[in-house]
Amino acid sequence: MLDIGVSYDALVAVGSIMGSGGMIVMDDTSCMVNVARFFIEFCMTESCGKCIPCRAGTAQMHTLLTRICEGSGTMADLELLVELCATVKETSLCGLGQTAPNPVLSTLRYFKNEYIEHIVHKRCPAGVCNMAGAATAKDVPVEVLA
Amino acid sequence: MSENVGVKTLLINDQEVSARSGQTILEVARENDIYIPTLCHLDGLTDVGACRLCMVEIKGNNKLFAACVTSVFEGMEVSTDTERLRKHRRTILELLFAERNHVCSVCVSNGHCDLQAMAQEQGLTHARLPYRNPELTVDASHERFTVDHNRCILCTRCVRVCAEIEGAHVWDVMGRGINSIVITDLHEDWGKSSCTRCGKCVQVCPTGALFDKSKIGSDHPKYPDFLPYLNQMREAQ
Repeated sequence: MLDIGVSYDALVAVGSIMGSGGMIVMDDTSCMVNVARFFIEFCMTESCGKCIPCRAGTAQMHTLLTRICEGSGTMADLELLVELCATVKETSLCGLGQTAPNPVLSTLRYFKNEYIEHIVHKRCPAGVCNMAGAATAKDVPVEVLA
Repeated sequence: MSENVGVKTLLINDQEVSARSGQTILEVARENDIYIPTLCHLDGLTDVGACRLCMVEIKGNNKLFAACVTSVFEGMEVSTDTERLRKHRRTILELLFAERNHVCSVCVSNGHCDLQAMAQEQGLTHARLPYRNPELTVDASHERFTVDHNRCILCTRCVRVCAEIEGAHVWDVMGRGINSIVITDLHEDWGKSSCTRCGKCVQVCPTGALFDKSKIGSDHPKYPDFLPYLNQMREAQ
């Protein structure tokens, strides 16, 4: 992953875009789910609201990512998130909505294990998310669920 | 029609159709009885391509195109009803249902609603997305009409009919993204606004967001068909 040339095509191939040429350096203390949520929050607040997929889609994606970051996310939420990514990307009117799901898609592509850790093991590998919502899930006795 | 009318031949769902140059895919499809679902489109108003339900596939391009704002070209091959499109349409409708408060059973437009009809037609039985249920206001300050923002899908038909047909431009959109709402004048009460009380916005509203106070329950059909006739009569003068 470190051996990527800084060109339009090379960056698009790994699910990124050149943008203004800026780069963010992260290490294992950055939670990739939280990073995805941060970028979706940006797109959600920047959305103009004209077309439905971008207006409502980014807001729903933000809700689902917040759930996962808080430890209350489920695998069904993750599936829904992936589906929303496709619709927002393919049906949005302008470039903002069409690229909004990219951070989610590329973090899912390269760091899916972090999403799984949050959802299944209620643990944030980077120690960023406080997983406050997970406590309630754990408190439910197994007998009741069975 | 202008002098340089060119005839274009294209395929829509493998059916050969001819069109005039400058026509949109949606216009040509409707002329040939090929159905494309729409919500923000209304005959007689300009198209804004906001609802994204009319997205179609064009052969040779991986992108999707909004049929209401895409012009035809010679040899174009359009598909309007693929599995990919159906899936996106259902997701878009799901996003709409979860965005505000669309409980059909207690809505004035129950049975006369474009959103409800579209959901039934596209086979949307339930929403998997969490309902957002934002707390939005209901403005009943107008002597004849009410606006319930909880039912609004921001199609902007009211904005367009007020600006383009009535020429008053009382309605507009305020805010951005998920916080957008339609407003009268500079967000004044509808009853205190410069509204001309023509009621066109109520007739074109696809949901129960704008409704007539004098009607009760769900006995509230709307008649947006007046628009093409009105335009025709105005042009004829």
